[in-house]
Amino acid sequence: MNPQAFLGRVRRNATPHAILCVIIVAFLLYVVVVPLAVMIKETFIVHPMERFQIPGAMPGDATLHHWKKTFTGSSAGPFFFKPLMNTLIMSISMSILALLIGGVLAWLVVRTDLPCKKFISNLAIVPYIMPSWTMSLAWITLFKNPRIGGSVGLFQYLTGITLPDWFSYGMFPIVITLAVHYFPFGFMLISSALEDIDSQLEESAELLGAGRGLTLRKIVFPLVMPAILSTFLLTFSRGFGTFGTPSFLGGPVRLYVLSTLLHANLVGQRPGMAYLVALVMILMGSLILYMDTKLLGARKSYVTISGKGGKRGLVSLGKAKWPATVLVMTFLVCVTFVPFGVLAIESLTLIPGDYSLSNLTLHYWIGPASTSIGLRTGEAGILRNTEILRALGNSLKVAVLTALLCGVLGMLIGYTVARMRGTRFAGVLDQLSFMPYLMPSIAFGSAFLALFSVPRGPIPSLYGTLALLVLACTVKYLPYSSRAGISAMMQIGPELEEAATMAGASWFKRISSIIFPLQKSSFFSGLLLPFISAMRELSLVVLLVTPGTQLATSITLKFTDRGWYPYTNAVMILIVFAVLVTTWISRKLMGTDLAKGIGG
Amino acid sequence: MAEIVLKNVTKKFGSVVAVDNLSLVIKEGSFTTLLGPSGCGKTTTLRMIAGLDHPTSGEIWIGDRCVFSSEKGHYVPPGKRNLGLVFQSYALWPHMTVFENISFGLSVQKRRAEYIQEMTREVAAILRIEDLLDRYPSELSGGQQQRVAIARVLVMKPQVMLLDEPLSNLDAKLRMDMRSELKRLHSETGSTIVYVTHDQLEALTMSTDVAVLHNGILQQLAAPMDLYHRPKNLFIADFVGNPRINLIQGRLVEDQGRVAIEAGGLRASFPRVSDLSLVGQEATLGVRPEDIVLSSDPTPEGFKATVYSVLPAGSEWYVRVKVGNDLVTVTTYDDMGLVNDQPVWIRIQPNRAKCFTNNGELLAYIGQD
Repeated sequence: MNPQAFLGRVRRNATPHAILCVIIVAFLLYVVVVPLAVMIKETFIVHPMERFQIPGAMPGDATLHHWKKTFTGSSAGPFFFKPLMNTLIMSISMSILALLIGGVLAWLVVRTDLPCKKFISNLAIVPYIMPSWTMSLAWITLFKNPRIGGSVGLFQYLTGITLPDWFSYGMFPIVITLAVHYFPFGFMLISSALEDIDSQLEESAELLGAGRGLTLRKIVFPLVMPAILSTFLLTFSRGFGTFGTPSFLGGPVRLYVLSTLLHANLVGQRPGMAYLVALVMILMGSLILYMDTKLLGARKSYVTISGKGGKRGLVSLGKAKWPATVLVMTFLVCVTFVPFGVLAIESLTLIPGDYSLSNLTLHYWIGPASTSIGLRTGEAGILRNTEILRALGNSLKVAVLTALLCGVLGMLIGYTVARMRGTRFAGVLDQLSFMPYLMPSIAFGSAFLALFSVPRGPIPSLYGTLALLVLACTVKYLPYSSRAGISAMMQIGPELEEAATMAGASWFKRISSIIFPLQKSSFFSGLLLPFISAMRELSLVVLLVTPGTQLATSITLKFTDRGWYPYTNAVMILIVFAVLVTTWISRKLMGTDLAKGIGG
Repeated sequence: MAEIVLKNVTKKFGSVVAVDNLSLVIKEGSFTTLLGPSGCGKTTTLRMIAGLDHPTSGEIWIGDRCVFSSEKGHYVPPGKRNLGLVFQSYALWPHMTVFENISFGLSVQKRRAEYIQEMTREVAAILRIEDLLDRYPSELSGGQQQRVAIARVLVMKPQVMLLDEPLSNLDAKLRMDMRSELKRLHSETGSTIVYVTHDQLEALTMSTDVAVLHNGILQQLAAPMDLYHRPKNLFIADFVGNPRINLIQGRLVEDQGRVAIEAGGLRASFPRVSDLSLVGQEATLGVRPEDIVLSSDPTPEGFKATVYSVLPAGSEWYVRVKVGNDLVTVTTYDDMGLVNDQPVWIRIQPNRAKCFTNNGELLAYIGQD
């Protein structure tokens, strides 16, 4: 090829989406793939603080110490295998429980004549919108026994019964509270799978003489089975990366799971082993995603393809209708209003453990700093406490910036993938932007810690800045927005832009007057999920915050550690409130349906 | 109003060759249709002329301007080629009114507001959509959307109009109306039109020239009636015409010093082919259904057949008859009251049979001049 021809070819192919593709892939490689490599390296070297654990070693030396200590010998039990077992038990049992609750609820709402469906559907996603460990805080407040000292819980106060340890702390409450947080996943995914089933499929079965029960068993259930399995894997993978709940409920009885072990390793000056645990978690995440796409990929499709859910008869619940309604309502109230109320009461109780009316106070909300009132903490009430207010401000800043960055990046990725459809690059970009999804939050946080704790080349150390938190959240939630962006862009088809190209419009003109106006609504509704996720994030940021960059979520850890639950609970109420209000407003303004974005 | 020349244009997507060494001259002022089944490379060819796709190699000229050359590195972007493209899906911008859709190109060119107003209304009047200017595309019917899409192109006064299956989303009746309108538009504006379709009837009814593409290769470029009566090969004969041409496997034989074909129970001779070395070869006889005459009484030159099924189609009847082991379609224009399994006699109209060699090339047709 002559130079002229070559230059011509380069010029033709340097289209805006090709340039974007290169930039975005480079960015994603740096924030997704490089941290993985850095973490792997960290598991083979001696860190300064590990000098004394490994006789004769100098910082920076290569070592197999971390691998040996984690996987072999007497330390492997407490340092790896026991927490691994706990993680599996926790994730599997809570996923099954969540799936049962969500599946039954979905069937009741979609397929039966249960009343108040709209209200039930709305209420059923609230537990997911709340931070995952809200439920565990409420549990502690309700069922605390004297084991961890301080006051007793509301239950013991009212009944005088001292609850056993297994009920108050450890695996049992962890499984219950996580299941309550994650059942909305199952509810939403299984509902939509049930709605998507072509009613003709059922009608044909019924015409052939199959009864309701047989149809349910032979037609409906097999059709939603892929959705059920996929939901199980999804719930499982989210569950084992969570930190708050096992930390609050497992801590008092020294129950460790991988996420809390990872945290303990880092806090306990064993970064090498911490990164090793993170790698194991990432490996587990990848394995689950692989199973989801490979084993279920083919089967999954037939649920979504039909998608012609015509009118169908609802199953009449008959006499069971009202008992079922009461049961469902009671359950939903127990997992939404009750925890919220319990947290509110606790935050209004001056002396913990005394729930009489005379003990009610606003001290923890608006009281002055004092060492003589209530818990004698010397902390001002949260609404006049500069440290807490700054943390809240930080949370808002991080959430807003994350949402905007995710939205813009998601749209650009969607645009690029849609334009380069069919080429290798589209696949690579799609996969890369989805990778953070399979990284357990806390492991991903530790990867960022490894990458950004020191300056690398032109990139300064971001540790201790809000920018690091924004970056971590943006990359972690990118899968939501890139999926949304890709599907939105795929829908508008390239002709709309090509028509503008034919009219002679430049790329910026095409983006500003064609693409963006068409994407506006999905862009704005796509901001919601990253915003909410960032507002309530703990697992991801717990390793990355510093005293200067505390977030509302991470600051509750400090109060919980000291047993200052009223502060923790008051802050939690503010977070839940902020999240619910945002969801409600965006729903009113833009008709955003959160259910669509979740589960991606 | 310009001639379009494609010189040795090849387009590969990965290892798939979509257009294979295509050389084609689209005459100035012509209505040229690129016809072929899906995947034949016709839309790719159109998009390369538009500048939305780039040839892997070759040259494209519009008028006296080289808009693409892989060798010289020439490339003129779509917006500067002075041509308009009507998309199959119309690609109207759903967030803009009809007026904004039509005037978009002019506003990109930063024309004066009065000029934009004037031109947009003028074009809207031509296409009879002046009452719809404030509406949004979603409020229009399919036919109206079609007109807006054409207006959006016309307003730019392009040298060449490219249309990519513009009628495929319309219902059958509307399609008929739009065909005549497009043909009218062509004669009124006098611009060069390149039209892509897989519908052979559309190609025959509208075009001045038809280029048939198959597997990325140009099969034949001819006027519609030439294409119908003198297809260069088996593929074209089979693709053009509805109901399909009857194709019957047979063998070349000698008939009074000339070549003839015996196929199934039929026989046709080609008086102009005297190359007797062909005798003995396998070949295919092609006869269009309307070129066969059917009678319920024995005729001396007729071949005996039995009725297999009768398909009335309003103005005509399609009769499937069995000759030997082959099923042959015959078009009749009278109700002959035929019933299944009834014996009939069929006769090939003089000068209408075609013969194709084993590799699909046209060997001869009767009535060759």
